[in-house]
Amino acid sequence: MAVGRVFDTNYLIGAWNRHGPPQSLTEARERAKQFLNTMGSGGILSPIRLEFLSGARTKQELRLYDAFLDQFEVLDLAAKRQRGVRAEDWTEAERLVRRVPPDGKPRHLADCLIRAIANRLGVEVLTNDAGFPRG
Amino acid sequence: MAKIEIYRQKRVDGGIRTGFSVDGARLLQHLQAGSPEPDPALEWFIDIRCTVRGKGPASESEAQTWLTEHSEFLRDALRAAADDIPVGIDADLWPHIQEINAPKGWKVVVAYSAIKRVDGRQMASHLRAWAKQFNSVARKLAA
Repeated sequence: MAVGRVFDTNYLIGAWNRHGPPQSLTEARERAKQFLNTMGSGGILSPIRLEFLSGARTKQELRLYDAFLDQFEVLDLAAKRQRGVRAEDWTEAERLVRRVPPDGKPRHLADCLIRAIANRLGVEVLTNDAGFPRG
Repeated sequence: MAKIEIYRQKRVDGGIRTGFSVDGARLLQHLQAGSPEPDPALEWFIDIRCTVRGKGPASESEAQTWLTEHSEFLRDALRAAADDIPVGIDADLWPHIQEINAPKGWKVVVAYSAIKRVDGRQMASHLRAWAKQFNSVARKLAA
């Protein structure tokens, strides 16, 4: 497994937009490689991959997103004995969803699931998302 | 060439993970636990990234030996980064990367980042604290 660090969707979006969105498959791959080179090794989780893909507005953009994301190791899919999202991740995500914060802000499914998987895999999440469910 | 990363990162729940990886594969790690409710979001991280000639350590014991052999240089690298830290560290996606004078055949950088804006002195104290505890922390690392 890669270094115990996961890039949240907002980090990937930051990398994608840093010098304007990539216009070709090569540029998309290079953007991801530059990001990984700067950030040190790390990976993503399958909900982060899906969240990023869900932002595509055209088929061409989807292809570029795929080329970009293919450079990242999806840690929950790479873990041999703990492969993919498991039932216990959904249970933990529900526990987090049910924790209503004092300000009443809604919890986001993807963030709760990311936190649940990260805890199980023993990895940390690089996020600047104020909405990331807090302990 | 082998890429060796030694990293230390503080979680929002107060836990601190230290790890050692070679070419992206984690060989050693230790988590100093934080609060009972785990929160894996990061507050800050520090990486010592080394590109060295030849093959890197391939096992837990080789990694421990490598760390012991190079601990003095690695501690000095952290102190050098602390000495040159800017006054304010902006919250930015991109880490500060500082190149360190390294032995021949090596390229070494210390990279650090704080998720929220922190005072440069605060980040410097994290770098120095790790340098000070480097050997005791390294002994706790395991596969």
